[in-house]
Amino acid sequence: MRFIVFVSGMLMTACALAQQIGISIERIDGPVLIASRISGVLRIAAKTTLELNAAEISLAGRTWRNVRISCPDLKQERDVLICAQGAIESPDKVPLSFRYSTLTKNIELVLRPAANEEWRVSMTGTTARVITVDIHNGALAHLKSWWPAEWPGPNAGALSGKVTFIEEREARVHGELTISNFGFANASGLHAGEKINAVIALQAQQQGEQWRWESRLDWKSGDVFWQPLFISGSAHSLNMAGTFDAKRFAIEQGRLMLAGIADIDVTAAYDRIASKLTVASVKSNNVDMAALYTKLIKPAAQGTVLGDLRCDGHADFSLTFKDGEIVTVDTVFKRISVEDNSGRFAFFGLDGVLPWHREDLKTAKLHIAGGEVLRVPFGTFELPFETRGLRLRIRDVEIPVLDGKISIADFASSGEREGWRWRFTGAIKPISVELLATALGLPAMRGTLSATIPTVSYAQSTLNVDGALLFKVFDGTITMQNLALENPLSKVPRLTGDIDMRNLDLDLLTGAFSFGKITGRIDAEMKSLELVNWEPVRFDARLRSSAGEYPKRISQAAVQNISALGGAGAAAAIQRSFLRFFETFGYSALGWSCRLEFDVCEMGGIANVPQGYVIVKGGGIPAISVLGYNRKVSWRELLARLKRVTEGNVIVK
Amino acid sequence: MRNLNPIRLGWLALLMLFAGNLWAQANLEINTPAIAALQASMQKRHTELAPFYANGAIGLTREGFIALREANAVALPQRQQVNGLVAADNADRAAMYREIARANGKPEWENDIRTTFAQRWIDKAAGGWYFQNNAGAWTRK
Amino acid sequence: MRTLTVITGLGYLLLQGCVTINIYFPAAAAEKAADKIIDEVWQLKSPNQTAPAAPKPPQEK
Repeated sequence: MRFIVFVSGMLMTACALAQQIGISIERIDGPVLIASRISGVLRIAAKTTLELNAAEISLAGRTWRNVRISCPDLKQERDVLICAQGAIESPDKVPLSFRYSTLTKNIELVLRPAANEEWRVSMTGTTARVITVDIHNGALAHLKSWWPAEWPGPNAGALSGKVTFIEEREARVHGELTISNFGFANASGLHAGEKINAVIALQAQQQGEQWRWESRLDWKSGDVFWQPLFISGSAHSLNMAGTFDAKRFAIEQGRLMLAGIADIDVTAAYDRIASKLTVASVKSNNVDMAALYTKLIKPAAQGTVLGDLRCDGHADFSLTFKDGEIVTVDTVFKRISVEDNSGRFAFFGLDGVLPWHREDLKTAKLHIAGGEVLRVPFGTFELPFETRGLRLRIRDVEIPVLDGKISIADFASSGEREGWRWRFTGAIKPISVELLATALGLPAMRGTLSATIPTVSYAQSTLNVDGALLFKVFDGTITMQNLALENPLSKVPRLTGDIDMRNLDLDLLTGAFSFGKITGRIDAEMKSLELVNWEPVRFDARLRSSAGEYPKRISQAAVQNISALGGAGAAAAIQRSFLRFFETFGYSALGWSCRLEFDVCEMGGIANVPQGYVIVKGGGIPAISVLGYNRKVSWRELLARLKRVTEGNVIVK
Repeated sequence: MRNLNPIRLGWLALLMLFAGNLWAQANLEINTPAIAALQASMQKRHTELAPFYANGAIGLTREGFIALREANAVALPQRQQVNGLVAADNADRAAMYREIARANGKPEWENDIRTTFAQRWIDKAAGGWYFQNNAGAWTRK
Repeated sequence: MRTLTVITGLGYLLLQGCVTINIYFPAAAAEKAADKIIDEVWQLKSPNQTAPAAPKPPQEK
């Protein structure tokens, strides 16, 4: 029996019964494999056995210690050594077989970690070594060792395919791998993928110290969730080409084709020593906003204001990064329209160029063809603005609203740590209240709305209006002051303020709300008004006849309606008396007050009488007085009564 | 006697305290449009959240909110949706605590109300749901 | 225990003629309110609260 031992530096000892050869190798060096301090024993008896122990084996940068290779039945056929049923332990035991030709020095090594799984490595050639890795159903979980710690780890999937490494003066690699059922996830589950099927083709060529590489990834199916984005694979692909060396990894040309969403061009350079992205750019032209919104943004924006929109139009995007941070974002809008499906806001025909830089001042000019906010439409306007980092500034803009205008001057905003804040000064140039009321679905009213607004500011989720909003309606004036709106975008916006009304023409007012005709004028004030979710929860209101000389008449219907507000039954009294023969009555003053708190309205009139108060004080001929006796009424009950009255459903017997 | 008896004063204070106490105990105002709106919104959302309480994807925090504690228990396509539901529910919860305090004219009670709710959510949680114990560790009920 | 502190504290402060206001939080009422809202939100079948538990018949020995 003759064995050729294919290692150098061996040590031989002889034994009486069987031949035993001790093996000791200091180091084996290959392009991807390094093994050191290998020791072993070759026993030649009825069966030849080989036991090898490597203190350290490192493969492509990953190191194992104490690796044991055993071969219980080593055979020789001519110049080929065959180990059919060996094993490698490190410490998990994996079945292994190899063939080694002492003549050609060709090696074929097969690892079978699981049934139906095979990693076949072969080395052939003498002048140019060719290493081929042939994988059949290779578990991707084995690659965990090579996975960067900060990446979500693989937890499922198999790899099949072949990679060839040709070692010449300048090495070459090419291969194609099919990934099936691949899954990965980080501990929090916020970066994860499932059931991914893809094909990767790659080739690389050494050029001096550097490698040039090219790859193509076809993502055929499977899902990826990268918070907050979810992308479902279907014919997406990523083609890349670039270079890498010991210091740097670069994507010189990259194109990510997200089928049905966008084609995105990418370049990047990654510093391998500092482990960071030094520069990168992302660019995409003519992105279909409808597809981008429904496939990417909508799922990510659930539960926010942007969660249920209809989007249309196209846009170009271009982003650059430096040292891991966004430096510039350039956007071009092309006929974009956005509509909130719950009708809160909409705009259409957005056009323009929007440049942005992290530090530099950029000016933009957008054109908006129109839209609506809370069902109030606005018209075409130009929106010129300046940005510098997170600061935004608009010097002057005039937005046509109905037949008037809202003008905004000196709008300035900044994104601060506590959240977004902005402020502006502005004015409302007369808007027809009639049109506004129609748009808001309110009863028909006549008049105008105008205002000068010294400052509107928004900070910490609260909108504050300094100055007064002035409405000219019902031939009188309404001023609103101290307006503040907390959490405007939440489910329960809270509006507080004080309202003062002067000289309202009751003729026009009662006509608008079909309350029964009253002739005269009133002043009203509402202090500490608080609306939550646009419903009043608190106020201190009082109204009374305005000072001055003017005709004062009240119709029978109005008297009945006022009485009906006091509760059922009161209205019937008038019908039983002679007063029913008159259409209208004279009065000298009327007034009513309501202090609302905890759903209770505490009422009063212009004067007190025993057990009650005067709402309408008679005067002229025929005179009529209306007294109230209930001091407290449930606000909801009062509203229900008012609704019945204004809908003309008063039951009169 | 012009001297005030401290013991009598103590009793007076006690009496005042009980008067306030009785009023408060009898009635904490929760009958406002805002609270009703929030309650309806949370009730509607709960049908979507319930399966995720049950499978442990979300849990009740000791601060009176909910949190996504095990995202891997949610199917991938729904993960962001559940994220959104959690955020929306927490916004409603925060608003609810604030509104109850406000509705009672005591904005300074907001934290106490939140703490009370935190305990009651946990007490009333179904078996198998997860909650944070006093040390902040997730515990299965 | 806390209530007691508040009472004595209040008495003491009144004597001092300098009153700080101790905020009293109605814990039981808040719990009741919380229960009512939670039952609604989670659609819990509330046990019949109005009917008191029937007194147990005296057991004969």
